[in-house]
Amino acid sequence: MKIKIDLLKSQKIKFEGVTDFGELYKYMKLWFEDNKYGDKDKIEKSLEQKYIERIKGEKKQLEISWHAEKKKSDFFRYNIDTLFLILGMGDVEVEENGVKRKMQKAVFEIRVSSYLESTKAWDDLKGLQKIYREFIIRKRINEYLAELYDKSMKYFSYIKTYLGLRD
Amino acid sequence: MAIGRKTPIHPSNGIVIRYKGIIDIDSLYKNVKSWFGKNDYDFYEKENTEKTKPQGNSLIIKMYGTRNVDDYVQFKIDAEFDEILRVKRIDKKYSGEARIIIRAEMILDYENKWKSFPFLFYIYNNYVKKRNILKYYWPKIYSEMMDLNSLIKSNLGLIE
Repeated sequence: MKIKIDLLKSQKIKFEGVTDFGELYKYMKLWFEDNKYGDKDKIEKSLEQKYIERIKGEKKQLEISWHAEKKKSDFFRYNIDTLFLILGMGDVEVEENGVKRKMQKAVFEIRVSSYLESTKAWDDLKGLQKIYREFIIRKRINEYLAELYDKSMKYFSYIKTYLGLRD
Repeated sequence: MAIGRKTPIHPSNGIVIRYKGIIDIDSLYKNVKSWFGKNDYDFYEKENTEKTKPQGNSLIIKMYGTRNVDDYVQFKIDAEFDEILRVKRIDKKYSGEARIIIRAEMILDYENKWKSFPFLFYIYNNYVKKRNILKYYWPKIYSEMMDLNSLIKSNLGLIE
């Protein structure tokens, strides 16, 4: 039987203000690269599941969804999903230390979910072999959950820190 | 009182704290977060919203923690900075208007092992385990909820 255990359930960060969205996007992608989620060369393609951009007058509306996974063992993998909903995004010029920078003003909403999931190898196990594995794996699942919880909360904090929110 | 799967410990609308004045939001947030850690709760942040407004920022921070007391009972405590309005920085603190809500509940059979036997589940909770729930678990989560309440009030400088 397939195992799927949810940890973070659509935890929401919402920020209404000015930020460099391009840079945030890049930094978030780098976090997954640094933490070895997905194949380094293919991360750009494997991460993005959906990218919708609608132009409404001078403003943009974005809906982006990411799915990142990391194989933990032959039987389990970590999953972290990110959903971006950005409303009324427009460019603004901001002066920082005497240097003018183009940044984006919008309502940024980012939702993070994470879960532990069994792989096909686990699902294909049968009979005695599976019973034997279940006894060993129970303890290990708790260790995996603790590690994934720690990682996904760090990712959540990383985004908040970038946006200047309390952490 | 029949004991269901989820038993709220808080008053129907939760414990509501309203405050207008100087608030050290950063330290309040940190203290609440570390309270969950100190009391062995797994900490989650459902929402962290900040809106920049000319009259002062508005904030919503919704946190909760869960603790598996044993194989059968889980405690869940919510601390929601439901709205903090007109937040303006004054030195290292802030001024603003806050509404904070605390909720606590006990979740029985959190692993859903009794899912297929609702009638037996009812009998087990309301006859076999009732005394244990009311004498042991209920006072424990109640005192933890009140402890968090005191912590928030003392941070805001309110009478405890």
